[in-house]
Amino acid sequence: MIILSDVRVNRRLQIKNLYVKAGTSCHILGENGAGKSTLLRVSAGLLDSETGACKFHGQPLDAIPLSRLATLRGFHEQANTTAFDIPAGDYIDFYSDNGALDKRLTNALDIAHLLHRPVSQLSGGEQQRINLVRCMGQVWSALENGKAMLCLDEPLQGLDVRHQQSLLLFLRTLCEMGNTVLMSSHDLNLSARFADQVVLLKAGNCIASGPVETTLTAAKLKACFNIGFDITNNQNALQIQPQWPSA
Amino acid sequence: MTSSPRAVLSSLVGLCLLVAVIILAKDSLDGELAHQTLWHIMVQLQLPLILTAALVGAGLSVSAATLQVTLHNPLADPGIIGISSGASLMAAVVLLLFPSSDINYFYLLPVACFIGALCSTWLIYMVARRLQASATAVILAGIAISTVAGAAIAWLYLLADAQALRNLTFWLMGSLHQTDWWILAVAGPIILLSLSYQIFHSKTLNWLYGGATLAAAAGAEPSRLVRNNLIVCALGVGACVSIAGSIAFVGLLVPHFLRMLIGYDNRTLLPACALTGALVLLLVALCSELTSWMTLPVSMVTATIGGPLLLLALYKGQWKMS
Repeated sequence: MIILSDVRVNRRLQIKNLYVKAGTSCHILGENGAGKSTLLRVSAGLLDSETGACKFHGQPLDAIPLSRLATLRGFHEQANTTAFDIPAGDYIDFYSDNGALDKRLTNALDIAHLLHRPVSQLSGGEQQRINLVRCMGQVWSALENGKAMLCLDEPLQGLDVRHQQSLLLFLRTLCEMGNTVLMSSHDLNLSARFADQVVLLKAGNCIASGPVETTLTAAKLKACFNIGFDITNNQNALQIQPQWPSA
Repeated sequence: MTSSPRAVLSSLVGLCLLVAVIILAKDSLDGELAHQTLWHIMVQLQLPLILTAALVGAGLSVSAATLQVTLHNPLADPGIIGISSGASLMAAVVLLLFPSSDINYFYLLPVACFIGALCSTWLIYMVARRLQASATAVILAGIAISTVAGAAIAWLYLLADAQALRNLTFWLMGSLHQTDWWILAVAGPIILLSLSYQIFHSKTLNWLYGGATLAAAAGAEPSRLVRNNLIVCALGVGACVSIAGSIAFVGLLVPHFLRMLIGYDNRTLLPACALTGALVLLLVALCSELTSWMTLPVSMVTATIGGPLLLLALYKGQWKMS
C-alpha cells in the first residue's frame, strides 16, 4: 500500500491525503501540467517533497536504502529515449540483476522479436514497450512475490489498441498477485474499465479520489477538465464521451 | 554480432605488450651502441615514452566513454566539453609570454596545464550547475569556454615570436616525448585513480544510458553520480593533457569503435577502451620512433589513421543493421 500525507512540492503539487491499497491499480487523471508526473515521482521516491511523507508498506520512502528501493519499485519515465544504438535486450539487462527475462513479461508486451534491434531505431510504441519491460524487469522478483510497486508515467502513450489491452490485462494480473500500480492516463474509458481507484488532479490538488463509479462522474470530470461529459452505463461498463462545443 | 569480450580483452593486452616490447627492443638491434648507453636509452627515454603513451591513451579513451554516457551525447569528448581548452590556454600563456631563455619549461608546463584544465572544468561545472546541470548545459558551457580559450590563444599569437609559436603548435598537436620519471610519478597515479574509479563504477554507468531519472530509479544517487563522473573525468583528462598536450580524436573514436565491436556493456567496454586507447598511442609512439628523423605530432597520426577507420566501422555497422 502507498500512503501520501501532506505532501507538497513547490506549488506544483499539494496532496493532503492519498491512500492506495496494496494489490490495486490507481489511475491518475488530469489536465496537462496538473502534476501527474510530479505525483508519480514523489510516490516513486525520485523527488523529495518539501513537507509530509510518502510511505510504502508502512515505511517512509526516504528510510528505504536506494538499492533496496530499486528492487521494490519500478518507474517508467514518460517519453524516455536513449541516444545510443544499444540493442534493446542489452538495454533491459543493464537495469535488471535477475539475469534472463521472464517469458511472461516478454510475451505480455510482445517484444521478443525486438530484443536484438537497437532501441534508437525502434518506433515510438516499440520503444515504449521496451521501456515498460525494462521497468518491470528491474523489479521482477518482487513482482513475482506480489510485493512490488509500479509507478508508470503514461504507459499507454504510443501503444496501439492491441498492446494497450495486453498491457492493461497484464497489469491487472500483477495487481491480483498483490502488487500495487500507480499510473497516469489520458484515456478515460480505459481507466474506467481497468482502474480500481481513480485520482483526479487539478493544478496540483487532488480534487477527487476513490472507486471509478463515484469518482468518474460528470460533475467531477467537468470540475477537472473544464468541459462537459456524457456518461452512460453500458452493461456495467462506463462509457465516457466528452461534449463538443456546438458549431 | 559481437565478439567475446574476454577474447577481445586478452588479445588487446597481448598487442599492447607486443608493441611495448618492440619499442624497447628496437634500439638493441643496433649493435654499435654501448651496453650502458642502451640501458640509459631504455630506462630514461623508452620506458617513460611507453608509460606516457599507455596512460594517456587509456585515460583519454575511458574518460570519453564515460562522458558520452554521462552527458547522453555520443559526440562528447574531453576536447568538446572544454576540459582540455583551459590546459591549452595555459600552455599558450607559458610558451608565448615567457621567453624560453628565462625559464625551464619542462616542469612548469605540465603544472600550468593541469591548473588550467582544473580551472576550465570548475568554470564549466559552475555554469552548468546554475543551469541545473542538464547534459546540454554542460556541453554548451564547455563549448563556450573552449571558444573563449581559443580566442585568447589567437590573441596571444599576435604577441609571440616564431620559435614560441612553433613550440605552441607542437604542444597543441600533442607529443608523447615531454615526460620523465618525475612527471610520470605525479601524473601517473592521478590517471590510474581516475581510470580505476570509472572501471569500478561501470555498472552504475550502465544505468545512465537511459538518463539520470532511470539511474536514480535503478538505485543510484543521480546528482552525485553525474557530478562525480564529471570530476573524475576532468582530473584524469587534465593529467593526460598536461603531460602529452591536446590529443584529438582518440577519445571520440576508440569508444565508438569498441561499442560496435563488443557492445555497450560498460563493465567490458571501459577496460577494452583503456587497452585500445593505450594500444593506439603505443602504435603512434612506435611510428614516431621508427621515423626518428622527424617528430610526428600525435594528433596528426591519430586523425590520419582514426578518421578513415571510424568511417569504415560506421559504414559496416550501418550496413549490417539495414
